[in-house]
Amino acid sequence: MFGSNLSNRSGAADEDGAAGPPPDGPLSRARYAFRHWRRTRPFWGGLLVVLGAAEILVSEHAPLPVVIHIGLQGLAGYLIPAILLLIGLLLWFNPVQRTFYSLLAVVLALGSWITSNLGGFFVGMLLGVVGGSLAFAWTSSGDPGPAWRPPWHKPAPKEPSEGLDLILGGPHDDADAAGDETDEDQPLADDAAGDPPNPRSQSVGSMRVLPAGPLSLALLAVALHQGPLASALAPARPPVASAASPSPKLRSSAKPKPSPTRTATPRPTPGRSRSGSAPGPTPSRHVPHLVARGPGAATAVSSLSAGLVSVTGLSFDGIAKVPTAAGGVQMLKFSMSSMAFSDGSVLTYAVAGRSVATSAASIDLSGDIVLYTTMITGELNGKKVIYSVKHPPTGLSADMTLTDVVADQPYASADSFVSSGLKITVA
Amino acid sequence: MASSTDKVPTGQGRVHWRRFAVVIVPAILAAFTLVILTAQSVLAVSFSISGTPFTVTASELKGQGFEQFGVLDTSVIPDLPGNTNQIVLTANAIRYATITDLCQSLTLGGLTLIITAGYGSTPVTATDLVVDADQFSGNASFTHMNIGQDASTLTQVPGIRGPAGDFALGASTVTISNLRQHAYATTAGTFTLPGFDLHFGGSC
Repeated sequence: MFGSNLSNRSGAADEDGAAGPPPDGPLSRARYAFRHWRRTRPFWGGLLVVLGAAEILVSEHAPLPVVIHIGLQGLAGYLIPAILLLIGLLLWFNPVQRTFYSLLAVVLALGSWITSNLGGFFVGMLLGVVGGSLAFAWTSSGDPGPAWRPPWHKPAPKEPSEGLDLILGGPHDDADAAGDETDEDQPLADDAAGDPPNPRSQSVGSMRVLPAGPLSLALLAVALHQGPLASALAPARPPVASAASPSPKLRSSAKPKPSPTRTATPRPTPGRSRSGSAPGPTPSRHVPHLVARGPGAATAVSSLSAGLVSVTGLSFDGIAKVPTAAGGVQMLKFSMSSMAFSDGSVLTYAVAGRSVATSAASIDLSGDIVLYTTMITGELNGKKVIYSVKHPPTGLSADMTLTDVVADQPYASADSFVSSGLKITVA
Repeated sequence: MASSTDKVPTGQGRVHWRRFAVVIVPAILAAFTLVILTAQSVLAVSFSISGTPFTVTASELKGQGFEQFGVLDTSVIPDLPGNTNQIVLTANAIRYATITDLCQSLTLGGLTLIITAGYGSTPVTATDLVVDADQFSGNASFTHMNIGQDASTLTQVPGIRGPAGDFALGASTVTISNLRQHAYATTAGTFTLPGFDLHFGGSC
């Protein structure tokens, strides 16, 4: 609003300054030049479009790998505001094409709602729409403006193509007339009423060639985004329903269980071929889930500790060589049917010199649990015990309770993990 | 001046308010249509924000395909000494999530922006949701969970995995009630936001 007011009024307010002889001093000279530059193009409209596009881009600073993962949809989120920014600049530096640019700016700003954080949380979209509309509404007194007029408007004069004339060297008289008008600076002369019909309308067709680039880019961006949009239009409901009950998709992904061969994949290859790293739901006893599927154990320092751990159906399955990114590591292997952590259970792991702590009031693991660990310390019946590869446990009972337990480098899988009061913090 | 005006293809101009109305009125109508279609979850929208911390709460989140691992992100807030804008966060990725009572608050230039959705009977849905958070709380349960998996071998959310050797959690389903996250970045391939509401001020 204020922008258009400025562009509207400033002509009148500063008329004498602008029309008079060039003022002295480099500063006022620069101001004069800038004011003239500003008035000879849809400055405020272009500015609002640029600001809107910048706001959308700023609102959308996502980690690049994630953007690349999301792929074309994610890129469209950047492409739309990037083109909008370009359009805003073109409104300044190529104002002749403003009709096309301004309408494109409005369409792109609206499209950013879908692609780019709700149009930069509405703000950027609003700026783009208002800016585009302002730029569309801007007409030069030096030319009668774009050809299109609202239906209730009196028949419009033909649109000139001065930009093309600059290149092709248009008719002399018209060029002079335009030059005179700008030099004489009569911005409020009239509302394009007295403009003579312009004979250069035949160039309008070729004018449209230039913006075809941005247009096709914009259409491409919208088209890229249509996949999720279309999928959201039709089948948004089925997945919602299936999420509530165990979905068939999930079951099918869990069923094709690789044969439990211990030597299947010795190295932790970042495998896509595996049918899912989750253990299957109907396992036979002592299936070495983790090793068979080949996801290596992490090498980052980690530990699982709890004041109280109750275990049922425990068996010690010997020492297994677990693949990791740093080669095979020998670990104790336990399997059990349930495992309950309470009294301050914490899972910690190191990331870039910091530690991520997952604490919970209680954690209950159940259903075919397999645990690999390099070392377990704790108290069993009031006696301190240390189980490690060098000192493997012997004579463990199937059901037992340990206190003050710490398991180093835990690598575990369970059919079910239920926690209450789970809290993850980065220390 | 004269030289600059010679280069300029148009003369001085002004804004014609009727022309302005001709464009802005249908544009505003189209904008409202987009908002309404989003609120009715007919239209899915994309999100990716980061840089400043924000809070996400939900009464329940159900997801298919869950991963968690540590990441080093950049933030406007200095964290690690020496690396002024590096921050350690947990990346929480969910392949397909339905969220009830979603509330997200973020600060944009001093203004607090609150987005709520999914408070009605239809939950919010999101695909390829990734949230980089430094705090995370709730009552969580998982099925077919792996603890201590190498982060580079994650497959639950296709394409999202961490560095080799890093510690990771993976699960085929996740259910979290009373979720509260303090996050620095979130992205989602698509979001449907039924009952969408966006307003300034307040808190989650």
